[in-house]
Amino acid sequence: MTDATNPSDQPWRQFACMFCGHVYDEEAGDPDSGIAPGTRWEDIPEDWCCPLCSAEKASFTEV
Amino acid sequence: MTRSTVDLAQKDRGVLFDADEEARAAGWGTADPYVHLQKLYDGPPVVKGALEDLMGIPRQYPTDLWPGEVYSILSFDAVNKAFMDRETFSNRVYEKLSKPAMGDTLLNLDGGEHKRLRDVAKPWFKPSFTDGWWTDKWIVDAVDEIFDRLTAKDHADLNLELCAPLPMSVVSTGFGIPAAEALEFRKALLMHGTPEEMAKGHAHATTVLTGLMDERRAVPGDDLISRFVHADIEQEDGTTRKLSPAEVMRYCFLIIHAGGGTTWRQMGITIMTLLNHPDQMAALRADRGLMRQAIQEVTRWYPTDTAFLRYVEKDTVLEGVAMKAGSIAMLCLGSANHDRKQWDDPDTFNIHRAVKRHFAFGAGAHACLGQHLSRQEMEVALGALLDRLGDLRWDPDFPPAKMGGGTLIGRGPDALHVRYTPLPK
Repeated sequence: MTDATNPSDQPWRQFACMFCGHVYDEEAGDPDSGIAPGTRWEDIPEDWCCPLCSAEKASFTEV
Repeated sequence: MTRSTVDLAQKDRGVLFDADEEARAAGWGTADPYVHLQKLYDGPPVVKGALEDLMGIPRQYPTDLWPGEVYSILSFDAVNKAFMDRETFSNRVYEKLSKPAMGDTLLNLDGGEHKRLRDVAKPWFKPSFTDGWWTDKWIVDAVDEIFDRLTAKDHADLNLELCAPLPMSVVSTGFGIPAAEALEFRKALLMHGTPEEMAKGHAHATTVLTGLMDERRAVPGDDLISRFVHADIEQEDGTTRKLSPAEVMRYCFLIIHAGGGTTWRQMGITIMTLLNHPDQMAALRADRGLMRQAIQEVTRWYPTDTAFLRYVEKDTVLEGVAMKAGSIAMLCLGSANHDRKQWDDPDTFNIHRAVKRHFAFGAGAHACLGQHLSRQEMEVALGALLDRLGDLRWDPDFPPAKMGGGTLIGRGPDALHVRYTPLPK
């Protein structure tokens, strides 16, 4: 389904945008924004925005 | 001197800046929604039947335009699922609600077509742009001008003298429409009155925008019309083209219409709520770090729009209730924002509670494009209100402010008569 690799074997996490509810799934990534599948939340650049409403990364909380 | 804003007078109130008059003009009832939603809070999350019927109020949304069943979506989880699943719960309802008057806009489009059109304007409404360009270029000057007028005296109707002119002025001038023309433009846009008056108004708005578009195409300025006429839109095959004049026009109509109305009412709700909770207003005045969560809390507690519609595209089951394709789902933001499973004591206004996601600005692909701008305007305006209007209190010479507007659409206070001690900037 995805090309995500999970070398740490830690469960994939999801983070939801506070303002529009969009969910970032670590396994799926956000390829349209240049974030590859399998990218852990901590590794997403701080200037990344919600692809739906452009809210900042800091506006997301773990689901 | 009025340069950035429209200076409104009581004669301008009419149907443009009076939530109850706006509701009556649309044929809506004005009962308070939360009185009638109470009885639904402990019931099922999804119920067959129109929301108005369940609440025991006159019908407001024209759900009988569609032949299918109507379902009311009431809980936080159910509303969230519906908002986030746009393939099942689409915006096709707006084909009948908004398209006849406004043409194809973000409201009625879905899927790739919606995303490609929304992507054009998305950069101009993201937080870094609203906190930067919009604030520095438009909001601060407008707020300063309004508060210079307010602090020349010691009493005002903040509905008419702050809440109404600020968002209308900001969004109009941000587009490139001079403040002096913003009121006439808005009157033309809102299309109230006889069919002849509406046609004349639409023609006037079209003429103004067409002229501005031609000017900016030739000589771009630092405004949204310039950005729109020079923007690229991606097509389905991946190539790009410019927006057509008609597409720019429709985008302008939508943003100026939406941006001037909803923030006006929500700002009024915010000020009314704070004045009715003086201890919390004092806490906010003392600690501006509470500002963002205060605005989040008031929009949760009392959003200006209580419910939105969606069209059910395929047979589905939501929280155990089966719905056939062709049904209408009424997503109740009001009940979802007061879901007892999500918030402790949700009927109480409390700016100190932990911030949590809610649905005042919708959710999903159709979440309000202008929500960050709306919150930014409210934040700057509230900051100035707390800084410049000392000892702010209700004016005893007027009846208490009353929340009005359509029960499901367009809630807002009738007037906000206050007294204060003007403070220097």
